[in-house]
Formats: sequence, structure tokens, C-alpha cells
Amino acid sequence: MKARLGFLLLLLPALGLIAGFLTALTSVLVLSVVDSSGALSLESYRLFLGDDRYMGILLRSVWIAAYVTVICLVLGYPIAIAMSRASRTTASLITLALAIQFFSIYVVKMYGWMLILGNNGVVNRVLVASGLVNAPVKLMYNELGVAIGLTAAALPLMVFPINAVLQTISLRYEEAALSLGAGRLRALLLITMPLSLPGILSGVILTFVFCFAAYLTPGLLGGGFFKMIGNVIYEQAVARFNYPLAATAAVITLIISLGAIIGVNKASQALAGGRR
Amino acid sequence: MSATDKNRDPLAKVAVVISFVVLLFATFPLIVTAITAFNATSETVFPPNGWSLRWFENILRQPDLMRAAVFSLMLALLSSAISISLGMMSAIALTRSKFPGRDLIDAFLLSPLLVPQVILGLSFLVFFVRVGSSQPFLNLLTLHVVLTFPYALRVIRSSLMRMNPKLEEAAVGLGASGIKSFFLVTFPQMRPSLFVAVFFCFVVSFDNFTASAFLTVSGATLPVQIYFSIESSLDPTISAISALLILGSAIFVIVADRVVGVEKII
Amino acid sequence: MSGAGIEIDNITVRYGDAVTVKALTLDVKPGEFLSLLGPSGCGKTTTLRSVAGFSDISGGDIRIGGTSVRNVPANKRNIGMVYQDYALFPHMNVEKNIGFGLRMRGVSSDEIKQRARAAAEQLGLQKFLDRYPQQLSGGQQQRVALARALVVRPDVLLLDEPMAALDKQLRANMQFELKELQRSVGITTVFVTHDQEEALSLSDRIAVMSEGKILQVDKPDTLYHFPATRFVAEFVGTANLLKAKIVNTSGRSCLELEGLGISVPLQRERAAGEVEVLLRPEQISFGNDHAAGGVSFDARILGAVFVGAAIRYQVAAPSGQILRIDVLGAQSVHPNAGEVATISWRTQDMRIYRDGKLEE
Repeated sequence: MKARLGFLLLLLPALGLIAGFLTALTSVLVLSVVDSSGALSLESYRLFLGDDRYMGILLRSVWIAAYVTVICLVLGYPIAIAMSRASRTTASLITLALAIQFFSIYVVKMYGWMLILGNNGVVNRVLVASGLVNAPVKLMYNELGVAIGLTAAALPLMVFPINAVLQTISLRYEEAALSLGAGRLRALLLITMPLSLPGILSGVILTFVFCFAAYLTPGLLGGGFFKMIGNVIYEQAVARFNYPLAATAAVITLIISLGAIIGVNKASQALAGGRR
Repeated sequence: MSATDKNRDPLAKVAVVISFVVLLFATFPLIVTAITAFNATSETVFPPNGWSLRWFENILRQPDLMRAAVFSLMLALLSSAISISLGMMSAIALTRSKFPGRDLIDAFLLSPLLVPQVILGLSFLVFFVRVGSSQPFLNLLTLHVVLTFPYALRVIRSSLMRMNPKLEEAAVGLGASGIKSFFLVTFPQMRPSLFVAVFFCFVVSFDNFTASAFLTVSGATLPVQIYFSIESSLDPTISAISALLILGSAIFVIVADRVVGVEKII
Repeated sequence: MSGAGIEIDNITVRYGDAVTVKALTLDVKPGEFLSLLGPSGCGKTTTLRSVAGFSDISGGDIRIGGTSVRNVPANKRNIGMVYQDYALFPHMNVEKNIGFGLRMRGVSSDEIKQRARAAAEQLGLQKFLDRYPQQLSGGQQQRVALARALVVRPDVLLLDEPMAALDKQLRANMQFELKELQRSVGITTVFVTHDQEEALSLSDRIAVMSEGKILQVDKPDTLYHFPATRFVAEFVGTANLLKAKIVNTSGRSCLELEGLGISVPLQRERAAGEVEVLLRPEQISFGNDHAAGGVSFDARILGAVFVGAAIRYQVAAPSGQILRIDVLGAQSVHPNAGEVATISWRTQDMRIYRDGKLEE
């Protein structure tokens, strides 16, 4: 009994910290459902949901997060395969390169994309110099720039969990499929990919939530011309001091994020249903 | 035997080729940034118009950047130290004793990981406005401990779970006190995971922009300061400090790879 | 259906700098059950994997049914393979697992269903078609793996230590079932094992391997009674090896057993020199039944262990050499530890090894 009390004492500071955080989070929730007099009111939600501009930004955020997630899966799955199936030297080279990219400062990565995609950036210089175009093409301060930036930033979030699962799958399954007459591609599609589904699902969750609630990437590469829901929350809170509206947008963002997490988990349980 | 088996897989070869192309795409901005830092003129272009080191020197003449760098460093070190202490205490409590609702407490302590950064930032902004706290460093420190603590807890807890508690019992059986056996038997085995925890906490704190931006309108942390500098001017000084940060990240990852293996930090 | 023969023709397999299979040649006859037996790391699994197409051979050729498969990828070789851990697809039920090979061959779904069910029935799995591998016992998993491999009617069946994960009782039953199945299907089978008892009881022929080479290929009884080398003698069954010397005097060869002062005249002339003599434990008996035309001397009993059907004694010869003797439980003579007893064996049971090789 005494020992148990000791362990609880060890937990106390952390419990206090997280309780403080959840109190702060709850105060956001409360802000979104009261009016200026402090009475319960859904006025902020009516304002937000009734405003075509905000709704457009919200839907566009879901949409861009969805397709960037798909792009990351398509680009990232082969990387995870290479990390787990290539020879040791090649695999660790790829892992190291991706880790360095991942742990580089986020704002620096996006600054690099501005140097590439800007009017005087690398791509436009090449295009203009080669005579393919007369004037620079608009590659950023629009959806394209934001999508590119998000893809590059979120890619490791997709690759790492898939790789972690692939590392645990025995190569024997693929071999057994080959011995039964499957080609390499069919063995990959019918055996390895379904077995790596748990990794794919965590990658999808991480990527989607990261992109959906992004603020930095649309801030720099959207440059105020292409806004996402994160920008709305920041502007309303920091620039306009409109805390109720910021809180409303934040709660809606949180609900969609948690909804995506729960939805994907439910889907994975349904898919694995027969096995347990 | 698996090494040779792997080489025979033609799909793995295709995957390697795709990986190199995609990784080139993903790391291209870092390469471009680093190279533009060496521009001779004040135009940040790639390829550079000529070569010089003057923008690196120029960093020293930017008091805002210098101040922000020191601020971020202090913030990262202090928040990591606090998070790791808290993480170690909580991890020991969660793995070395059984009590009802333990999994629930576990989920509770890791909950900040589920909340998007903008919402974390907004929550703390609202909270600090309400309590009237206008101490940027203390406010940010609180935020960063909340941001980094779940990483510390997760890493240390999983290493403690993999450890054999019998070893500690054996030490107690040999006459060591509980605390002594912890420091003589358990702690030395925890060192690799503590390294990983320090790595994560430091990087998460030092790199954080999104949540921190809500608490530092004036641009107190380095990423926020860089963000506002990018918005105001496109002078290669930003490239120069970025190049140093890229180099720092690369050294960090390579050191981590040598010490614990890169697979432990991904 | 009697399957196709396998000709392994002088193959070499390298992993990096190491050579794991060295210039190995082996013919497996159509319909034959052949075991590759050897200690771990001897190259037996690598040999099997090169037949399956999973290990590249750097020299030589492999022919299945007379056709070279050297440049045929694994999925076109029409082989059936069963792994030690079975490698059943965890996300497919039993029926899908068994039908997988047929699906890869473009068989219609009706026929897949019918043939998969027939194969399941043959192995007593009809009740488990909807189960997933992790819901099955080890023995059931192995049956699924066998059904999955056989349903495609492969030319050859390759088994990589398929019994290793089963407990002893179940293993005995599965060995019997496997042998029956193989006989009724008549498929050419290569079976990799490190368990000599398993190899002896299942195989038509056994190839004993060590360090990437085949030391001997023979029927089980030949292998047991006439092991070609000292290594085979010790790896298959229990071996008593006695140091001895061949001495030639006036045109007659005699075998002098070291430290025993016993000289045994040999049937034919042999070169003089140091040799070793092999005796199986059951070829030595208590008493001097074999004294006439045999070898007989007094030995001290060190101890005995009960091994089921027999009692195994450890005795010390006057030379100090330890010998193992198996006596069937029903036999009447049972000396106690510490006693001295006469032991004897027949001359013709002795096998003579010179430089580790059997001398005919």
C-alpha cells in the first residue's frame, strides 16, 4: 500500500501538467459555446458554418489533406519497401536521408520550397532560361505550392510507421506466395500490402491530421492567397482577438481530426475482424 | 542469408530507384537553401551569382536572430530536462506498479499527441490571457513541456517495459536498497532510451513553430523569428542561418545513428 | 502421378564471400522421398532453397523433370514448398490459403473452391475452412501448409524442417501421415531435417551433408550399418569408436585393439596402420555369446539409463575407453554399476575406418 502511494506521488506532477493542458483545451471548448455575456449560445457556430468563406476554407483543408495523404502513400510506400527490403547499406542510406529531412527545422524546409517555387526560384529560372515559358509560372501562393510543401513535410510521417510494420513481416510469406506461382508484384499486392495495413493506417492518420491542421506551410507557401483552417484560427486569435470564432474553428478542427482517427481505427478493426 | 535474398528482389530495386527520386524531391529544398547561403549578392537565388561567406558573418549582426537562437536553445534545454524528469517518474510509476485505471492514465498523459498543434497553441494562448500571465519564457516553457513530455514518457516507458524487473529484484535480493538497485541496475540499462528521449524532446522543442507562434507575436523563438524574417525580406542571411540549422540537424541525426542507431529515432 | 526427378548438377552457392554449398551433385528419382540431413549450417536448407529458386547458384545446374530451371524464376518452377513456420498467410482463411496457388494459376473460382475443399478433405481440414491460421493448432497449420503446397499438383514437394515446431507426440503422428500422403500422391519429395531419427523413419534415401558437401547418399539401413565416414557414423545413430592398429605378419592381417591386448584376425589382407573401429551399441552384448570368432573381454559397469525399449549402459574397457551398450529390456542379464561383466561382439559387425573413411 505504501509503495503504491509512492508510485502515485511520482505520477502527480505529470498528471497535474496534463490536467492543466486539458483545462486549457476545455476553456477553448467553453469559449466556442458561450456568447459575450457568458450565456450558453451556439452563435459562433452559426456564424462560422453560415459563412461561405470559412466553410470554403474548411472543405478545402479537408480536401487538400486527403489528396496529399494519398500522394504521400503512393510516394512513401516504395520508400518503406526499400527501407525494409533493400540491402543493408542502401536501406540505411535511405533511412538516414529521410531522417535528416524529417528532423530538419520545419520552417527552414518551407523556406527552401519558396526558393524553388518562387517567381525568381529554381524552377522558374530553368523554365525561362530554356525558353519554355516567357514569364515566370505561378508555382506558389496558390494551392499547388501548399500541396507540394505539405507533401514534402508529411512524407516521413507516412513512411516511418509503414516501415516499422514492414520490418516485422517475415519475408517467408512473400516467398511462400512466389513458390505458389505468384509474381513479385502480385506477392506484394496480395500478401505484403495487406499485412502492412496497420502501418498504412497509422501513416494515413498522422499525415492527414498534420496536413489538415497545418498552419506554417499554407502561411508561407500560400502567402495569404491560399488559406487553410489553421490560418483562420491563428488570424482570428492573434491578429483579430476574436477568441470565440478562433475557438469555434479550433473545436471543429479537433472534431474532424479525432473523427478521422476514430474512423480509420474502426475501419482497420472491421478489416481485421475475421482474424480475431 | 537474407542479405542475398533481398538483393534478388527486382521489386526492391524498383523501390530503391523510386526512393532516390522521391528523396531527392524531399531534400532538394535543403540543398538549395544551403547553397544560396553562399551568394555573393544580396539576391537569394539558385544557382548563386557568385560566392561569398558574408551572409554567415551577417548573422552575427542580426540581434533579433541571435537573441532568438539563444532563447530557443535555453527553452529546448530546459523543457527537455523537465520533460525527461517527469517522463522518467511517470514511466517508473506506470511500469513498476499495478493499479486500476493504469491504461487510462497512460492514454491521459499521452493525449497532447492527439491534439493538432494549432489547437494546442490556441488553448495555451486563451489560458494565459485568462490567467494574465505575460511572461513569454515561462508561458513557452509550459507549452514546450506539454509538447515534449509525451515523447519522453513514451520512449522511457517502452524501454522500461522491455527491461527485466527480475534484475532489480535480484539486486535487492543481493542486499541493495530499492533506490540503490534502481541506480545501479536499471538506470544504466535506460541510457540508450534516455538518449533517444533527449533527442526527441530537444528537436521537438527547438523545431516547434506552429504552437509557439500563438505565444510569441514578437518572434521570441528562432523558428518564429525566421518565419517573420522570411515574410519581411528575402535576404540570404536567412539562407545562411538555415544552412547552419540544416547542418546541425544532419549532425544530430548522424550522431544519434552512431549512438543508438537511426531506427530508434524514427 | 509420380512426379518429376530432380538433378542437382555440381552446384555452388555463395553468400557474399562465404561458400555455403560446394560443387554439390545429387539425383532425386521421380516419386522418391529423399532427406537432406545434417547439422545446422551444413548447407541443406540452402540446397533446398536453390531448388525452389530462392538462392542463386553461382555454378552448375538444376534440372526438374529433365528441364533446366537455372533461369526459371521461383514462381514458374511449379514446386510445392512447406516451411518450418508454415508461412500461412495470416490475413487469409484456410480455404483462401489453400486456394492461393490455384488463384495464381488463373483457375476459375468454382474450380478453386472445389479443389481447395477436396484438398482440405484429404487432410482432414474440412471443418476449418473458415478459420484463420492463428486459430489453428500447430498440427492443423502444418496440414494446411501441405494442402496449400499439394493442391496445385507441383512437380516436386520441398519441405524445410516442417516438423521442428511440433511437440514429440504430434511429430510422430505427422511423420506417419506425411509418409502415407507422399506415398499415395507419389510426389518427388525433398525433406530437410537435422533430426536423424526423423530422416531414418521417413526417407527412401538420405543424403548426409556437412560443410556444404554431401558425404553419403544411401538407403536408411545402409547409411546406419555402413556409414561412409566417421562423421556420418557419429551423426546417424550412436557410435562406439575404438582406436586400433592393423598389423601384417606373414601374409595375414590382424586387428589389434588399442589397450585391450586383443588381436583379431581379419578375413582378408589390409594395409598396415592406425585405424578406428565402429560398433553400434546394440551390437555389443553382455556375456561371451560371441566369444568364438568374436571379441570378448571384461569391462566395468559405470552406469545405466532406461531409454524405453532398451537400457543403455556405459562401461569402461580395461583400456579406459568408454563404450555404450544397448540391451533390450526383456533380456535377462542386467549387471549393476560397479560390477565387472564380460562383454562381446561379432567380428563381422566391426566397421574399419582409416583416416575417417570406411574401408570396405
